[in-house]
Amino acid sequence: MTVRLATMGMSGCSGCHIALLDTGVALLDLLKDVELVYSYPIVDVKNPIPDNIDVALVEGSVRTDHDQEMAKEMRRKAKFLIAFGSCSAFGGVNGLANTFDSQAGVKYVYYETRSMGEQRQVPSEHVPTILPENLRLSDVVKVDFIIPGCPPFPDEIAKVLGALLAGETPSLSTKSVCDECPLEQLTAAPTQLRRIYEIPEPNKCLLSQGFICMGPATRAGCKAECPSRGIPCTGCRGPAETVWDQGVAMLDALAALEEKELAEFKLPRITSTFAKYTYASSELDKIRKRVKQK
Amino acid sequence: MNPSKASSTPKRKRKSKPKAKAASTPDKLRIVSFCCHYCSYGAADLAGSSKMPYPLNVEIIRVPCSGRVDPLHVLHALENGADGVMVTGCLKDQCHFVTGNLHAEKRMMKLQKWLETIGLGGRLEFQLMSAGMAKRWVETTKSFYDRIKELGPNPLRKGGK
Repeated sequence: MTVRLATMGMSGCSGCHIALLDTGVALLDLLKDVELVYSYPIVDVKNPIPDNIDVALVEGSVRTDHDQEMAKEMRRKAKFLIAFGSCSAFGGVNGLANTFDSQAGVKYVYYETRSMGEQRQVPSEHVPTILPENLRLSDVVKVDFIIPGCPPFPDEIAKVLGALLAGETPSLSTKSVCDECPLEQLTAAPTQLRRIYEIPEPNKCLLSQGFICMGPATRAGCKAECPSRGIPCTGCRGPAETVWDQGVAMLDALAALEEKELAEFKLPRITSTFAKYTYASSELDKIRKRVKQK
Repeated sequence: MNPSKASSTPKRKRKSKPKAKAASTPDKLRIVSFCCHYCSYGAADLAGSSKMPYPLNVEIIRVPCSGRVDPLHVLHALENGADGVMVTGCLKDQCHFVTGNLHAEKRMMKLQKWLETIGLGGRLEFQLMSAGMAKRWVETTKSFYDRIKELGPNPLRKGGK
């Protein structure tokens, strides 16, 4: 029996689809049992979504009314819906748009940019209407499983799809990135904050050296690829199992690590550092939406 | 089965649940105050025992240390309709747990900035005081209450205004 797989992209960069193709040999093994019935970034056909889909991978956040309709249609036709990538699972980098007014953005794009030329009006046809908020997939429809990551790791995609094909329940790691990190742990608190362009000491914990590494609050499964190469974690895999809100948890943790110099350092964009990928699903954004409604 | 029998059984009147006690203050503003066990709770206690009046709206939650207060606790309080949140700890270098109050201060300072971006600015107050500073407790609660009164009730409060 072949499994009917569909993939779909909403407001995103198609990077998750590239990650799917990047599974390489594992994908070839999967394709023995899988029939790819709908996938516009790979097959390049935008025909209507076929019926009776077994597994659907949905990439990107819900930003326009078109996305919303597509998400609902996919939910009706798919038995198992997976939020594919951080945009779909938590709102992603797109979620930071919630810190701005969407109508002001529309006004800037269609009225104030120079390249618009003579026709300064919002098009009423061929372009979907932008929603007031950037939503994650689970705000619109019920989601059965998430594959986090920006982009998701090919090994993990293959593992999840393989588990589904074998009839098992897929699972994600419940640990944090620090649990997988090979760097030497230091107990000393940092004495000064360091920026990403500075060169770290090799094989020593980046957070202890003063780099803002989101490892403690981030879900494991990436084998700590960034920190082990000297690049601080930005938290693309969303909150770890025991973390309620990634941004707040990191704020909490960093206060304990900070010394005097750090305390005086004013993070110019606290939100985009601590809640880069999860702002649209954070406690803070939840409150902001409710304040705005009233 | 006789259908009339079923209908003849007297319907039980449900006892109405006792309504949650509304705040006994006339303006119904509610301020949640996290007080550390070793200093600011003592200050509030001293203010009470020395009969210094301070606003009734302040509801005290005792915590072992101000460093125990997670920013998430503050967010949850505001989300559930608290009009203001106060976090109070020991004076600098007098924390029972050495650095708890300093950590709390850093957290709350940054959280205040975050709250400003979502339209709840000014609803979080952080103060340091020792167990003997009953006067400071009274002054702090009074000035914070005045500020909350100016800001008006929390827009997220259940049941509207």
